[in-house]
Amino acid sequence: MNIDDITLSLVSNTLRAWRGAEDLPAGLLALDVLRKGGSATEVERGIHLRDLIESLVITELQDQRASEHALNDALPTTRADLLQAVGMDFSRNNGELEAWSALYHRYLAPVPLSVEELATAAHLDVRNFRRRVNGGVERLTDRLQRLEMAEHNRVQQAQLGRHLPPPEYARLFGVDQHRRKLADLLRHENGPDFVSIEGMGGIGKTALARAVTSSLAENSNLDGIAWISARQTWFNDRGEIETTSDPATTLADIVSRLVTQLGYSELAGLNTQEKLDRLAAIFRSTRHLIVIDNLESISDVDILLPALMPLARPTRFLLTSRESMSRYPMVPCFRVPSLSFDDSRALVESELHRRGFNSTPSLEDMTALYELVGGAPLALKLVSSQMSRWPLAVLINDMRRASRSAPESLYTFIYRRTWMVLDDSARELLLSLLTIAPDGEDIHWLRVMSFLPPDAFDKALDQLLTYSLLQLAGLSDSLHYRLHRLTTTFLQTEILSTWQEADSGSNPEFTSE
Amino acid sequence: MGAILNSPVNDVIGAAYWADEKQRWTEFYRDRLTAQLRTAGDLVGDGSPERLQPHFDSFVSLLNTTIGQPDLADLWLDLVDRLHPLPVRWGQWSTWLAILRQASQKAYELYRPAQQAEYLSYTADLLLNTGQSEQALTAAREAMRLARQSGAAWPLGVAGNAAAATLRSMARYDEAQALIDEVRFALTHLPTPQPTARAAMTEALLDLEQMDLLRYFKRLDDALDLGERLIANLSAVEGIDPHDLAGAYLRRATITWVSGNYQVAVDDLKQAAALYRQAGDELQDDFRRSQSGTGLLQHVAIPGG
Repeated sequence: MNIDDITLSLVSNTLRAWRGAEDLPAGLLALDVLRKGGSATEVERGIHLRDLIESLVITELQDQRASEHALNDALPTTRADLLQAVGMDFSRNNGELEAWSALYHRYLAPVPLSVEELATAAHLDVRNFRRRVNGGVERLTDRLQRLEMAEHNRVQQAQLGRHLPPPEYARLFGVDQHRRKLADLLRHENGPDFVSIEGMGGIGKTALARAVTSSLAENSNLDGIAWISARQTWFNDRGEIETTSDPATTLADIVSRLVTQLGYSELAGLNTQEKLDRLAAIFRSTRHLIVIDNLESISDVDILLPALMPLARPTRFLLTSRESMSRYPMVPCFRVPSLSFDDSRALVESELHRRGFNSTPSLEDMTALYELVGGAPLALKLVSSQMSRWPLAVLINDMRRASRSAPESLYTFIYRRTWMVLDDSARELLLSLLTIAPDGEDIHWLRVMSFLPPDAFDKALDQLLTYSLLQLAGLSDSLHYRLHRLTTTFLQTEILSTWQEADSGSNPEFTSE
Repeated sequence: MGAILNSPVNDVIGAAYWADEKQRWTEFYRDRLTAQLRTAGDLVGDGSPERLQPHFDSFVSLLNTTIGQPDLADLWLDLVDRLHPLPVRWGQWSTWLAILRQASQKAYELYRPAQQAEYLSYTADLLLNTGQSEQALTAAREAMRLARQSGAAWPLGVAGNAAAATLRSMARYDEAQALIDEVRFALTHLPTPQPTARAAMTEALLDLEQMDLLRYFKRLDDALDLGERLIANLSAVEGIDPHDLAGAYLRRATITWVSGNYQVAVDDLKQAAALYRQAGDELQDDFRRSQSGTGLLQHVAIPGG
């Protein structure tokens, strides 16, 4: 509901309608704040509105009474007690208390009281008592406006955040400076239209993009956020499957999902270029942030970037990619550095603490671990999760051996080790997740598609979370689960034959840089 | 396993172990994909469109993952059959178009011309709705050919409707009329589609197109009579899809609008919008509501206006 439509007279008429047991004027039933309670019908909204207003007024009245040290736990329910309470309220020389008391007793008290008897109890003439009632209505109107405004903000934030992956890590290490820098860049009026976050797999590109996006969602006047995870395989426009998406297919898919995510479903029937033209027109007067995650899935961005360019300004694009966009001069590249030793150590300690372990790795072990895996957050998290099972010294020793024989397969080694500690149920669940949408799925879908009994499912899910094999996405009431791209690739190439046979052999995903 | 886990992995867990793991889990995964396809089909059968819509991308991912498995073709096509036409109503037109084309290809590989005709007819309809008239006409004609050959009435009706609509959109009204007559005649020689609602819609699809043609031939009264009969007939059919009935109201609205019966047109549009919403097609619902609003503004006396 428009805030300006919440007027004094509307609130006053609503209160009068209640007092006279008449039909409510429609106005306040349109309050967005009533939708939060799931009120669907007019009758339900009427009941919810009454509850809301009573609760507001009673809270204010009791707060004022408490400030005068005159609070009774229960509100009076008889005529005599109510009139006595009015007398007490008006004996304090407190304007706020008088206004809320006048409002409550005139319109909301359990026993109908005439203005004359209320004025008498308050030791005022009728005209002055009416003024106090009006003062109460003014205050109530103000509270309702603020509540509605807060609800609008809440909905806007929820809208902006609905496509964001949830924080990948319970706590992000070593990214504050990068986040600020990138957010400032994207917020700046004359900043670049495209920014690319780059780095090897598992270095934390998505987590950083998420942090930047959240920062912008909170502190920028964005009209919308779209978050699109580029797909690894897709149908092309001839209906054929492509193992590596061709640019035109990817552009069509990305634009199509952009249209859906931003709520412009009326553009669904247009072809890709028409959609782009219409979006460009819309984006001239609106400001969006478009995140395209895992852009390395796209074999040729030469078509993609120029096609998206007309949508930019004031809209901005944030890209994440394993491959550098440095050949595009208009795309400033931000290469995510490995975590420093101190940040790596803090991350490992935080992960151990999160899992209920109070011990911290020795400086010697931590140094050895850092030498082996570097400051890659995913690797550190995976190894930390294994430390609940093996001493770090044993893990380091094994990784050293693996690293010596095949340095490029360190991630494979780490994943294999994790795979070996999983129960079969957890392995089944993990493989069942290979077919979910790239942006994740909810727990109900996982449950159904895992075919596990409830207890086994809960245990399996817990194991996958414990070993950092699942990522959470979305808000708390709509959590989504998804796999990290590296985890997907491990399963596809190391656990299943299907994909390895199709691949040429080596797996660039696991090649260390 | 315990001994293995406490030992250095590289020394003990060799290639043989992982080869066995691969074999075991690849077999498991094949079964899992089968089960997931079957379950996804069941979910579509049991779920309301609103509950299914958020999972569209996962349905597509599952189809995407299993498309290359010949032994899963039946389940794959069954899932497509169950999902159609929901993705169209959700505005997922380009994605669904690609999947329908794949379905058509699969049906072709399995030597199932009737099924191929069905997917081609849906493809034609979607191509028409996305403004790709030439391609729509080609697909519709191929669908009609296959449908006739295989004696499949339903795809013949769908494709006939799409082809006639495409010809009409190209202002080739006489050809469109001839095509409708031809399809009607062909249908009389084909077995009645099952279930009853589908049989009713096969006829209705041609009537819908006929209404528009009558309009272009300036026979508005005949068009209105046909619309009246069509709505009455469809409303009486048990299990009719509200979306199909909405289409009939919408078509009648366009005729009554042209006839100058604006209030009736607005009422029909509102009825169509309500039915579209009931069928989970919010896009059409919004369109028709906005049209009815426009109608009210332009042609109906507004108090104080």
